[in-house]
Amino acid sequence: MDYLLHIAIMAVIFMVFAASLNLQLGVSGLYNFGQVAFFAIGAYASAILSTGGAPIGLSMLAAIVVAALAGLLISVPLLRMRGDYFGIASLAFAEMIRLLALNERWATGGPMGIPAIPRPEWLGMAPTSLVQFLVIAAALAALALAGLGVLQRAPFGRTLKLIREDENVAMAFARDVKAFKRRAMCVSAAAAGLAGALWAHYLTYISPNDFTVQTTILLLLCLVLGGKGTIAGPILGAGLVMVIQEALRFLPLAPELGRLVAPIQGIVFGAVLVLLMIRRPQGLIGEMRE
Amino acid sequence: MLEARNITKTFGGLTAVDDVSFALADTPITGLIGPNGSGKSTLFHCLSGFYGADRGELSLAGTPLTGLAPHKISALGIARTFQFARVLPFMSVRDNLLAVAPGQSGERLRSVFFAPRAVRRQERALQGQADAILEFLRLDPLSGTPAGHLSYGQQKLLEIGRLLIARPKVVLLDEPSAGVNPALIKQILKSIKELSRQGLQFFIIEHNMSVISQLCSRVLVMDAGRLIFEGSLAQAQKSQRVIEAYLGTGTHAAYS
Ligand SMILES: Nc1ncnc2c1ncn2[C@@H]1O[C@H](COP(=O)(O)OP(=O)(O)OP(=O)(O)O)[C@@H](O)[C@H]1O
Ligand SMILES: [Mg+2]
Repeated sequence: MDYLLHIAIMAVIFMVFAASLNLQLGVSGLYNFGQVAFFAIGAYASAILSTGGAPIGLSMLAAIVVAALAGLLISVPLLRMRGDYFGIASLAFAEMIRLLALNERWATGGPMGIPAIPRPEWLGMAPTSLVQFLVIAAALAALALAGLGVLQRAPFGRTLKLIREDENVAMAFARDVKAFKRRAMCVSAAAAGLAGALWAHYLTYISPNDFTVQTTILLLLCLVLGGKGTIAGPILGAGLVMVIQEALRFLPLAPELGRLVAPIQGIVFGAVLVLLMIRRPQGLIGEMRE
Repeated sequence: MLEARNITKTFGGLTAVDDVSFALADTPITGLIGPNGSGKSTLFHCLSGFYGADRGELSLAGTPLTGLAPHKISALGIARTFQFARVLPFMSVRDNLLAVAPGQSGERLRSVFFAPRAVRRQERALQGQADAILEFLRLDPLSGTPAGHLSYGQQKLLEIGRLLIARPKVVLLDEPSAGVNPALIKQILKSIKELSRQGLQFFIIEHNMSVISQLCSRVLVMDAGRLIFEGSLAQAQKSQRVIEAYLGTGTHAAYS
């Protein structure tokens, strides 16, 4: 039972994370390969504040704000670059944030990370109750996903798609392309910050190792599998990827074969990607059918 | 009202637009003709801000436009099409119109969350407008089709539809009839005339002289980056300078 709850919580967190990246990569055509940076910033902000004694709700709120500000700040240099350069620079930005976490021991604990991050007890149950955490996480995730969905359906999302499809046409019709991209990055970073904060409070321990390019790849898989640019795609994709990943962890392997779990995950995800590219390159949910 | 003074644009050693000055004045539809490579599209890029001119000034009804970014020029009322149709292929025909409608409150984050009813009301009004435009263009049966599935001529027509919803003051059309079949050319001409009656001012690049003669009371002629003639099409066709330009006996002063 706990194992099912664990999968559900991980899935819910990754749904928000994947939907956040979707606003950039799927809707705006911004190939941000460093989204994990905002996840890390949210996780660290909430962890540092709450272990320092701040209430968890306030810490999470601060995490969202800090991540949004980080998104706004980094958008200035990143948006000066185009296409491939934007992607590479965003990857470098994520590495920078990870190295910062690794080296600024006074705040982040360096490679040792931050242990004993408190879990919320807002429903009056013990902090160890997974049901309680799932309910809280699902409620917050539902809010975030609804917010992102509304934005995507609104004229705001349509303009982002216009920019994604043809920047010149967007400019010819009076759209300030950079300003729209900046807003998309800011909102997207805020949502990733929320996902990161939930993750920190769930695992109760974070370290720089959690925020490598590995996580970014997992996130991209969620998007590509579900269907980028749609509202339901990232949600479906994140759900499936988390179920597969966590289920593989519980394969009935002999203990001495435990080290095979990670490679098996890699093989399965690789196979899923290859199959997808051949059978359904647009993802399980294609955009035009929306 | 659109006025250009001494516009010059060079690419390396090539002067694509060479000291061009003109004013669109009150002519409802002005044509811009000239042989291939004479700098017509480059001039349009300069007028719409897509290229920064090396020299020269631009103004619209007295408002200076020199050096402004394309979206700012567009916001002041100058819309344009591109030489090759540029619709948004993965969006429906109707969304292609809605996406470029001006002044949508739903493009602002605050309005989306805190004034959703106003946003919805505006959206419904825009949808009504878009449907009326599609009906006028006879594209209404294709309203839900991805624009990429349209024929090239229909895509050019859809581009006119975008201008209809954007309601600019001045429209720059780069070869609206190129690659379009005669039936659709008729439809495009009809739409341009209708828009012109509604007060939009047009500046049109065209190689199709029958289109020019049906629309334009005045033409400008470019050759090798220079403006070599201003007047009626009939006069242009008699001008020795213009004939030379088209027959290729003109000196190619642009190549330094
Ligand atoms: N971005 C560019 N870089 C370098 N040269 C350019 C560029 N754009 C245009 N040119 C050159 O400038 C000259 C004018 O080109 P332009 O496209 O304005 O001609 P045009 O009058 O529109 O021709 P057409 O009738 O064939 O469309 C040509 O010699 C062209 O090769
Ligand atoms: Mg041209």
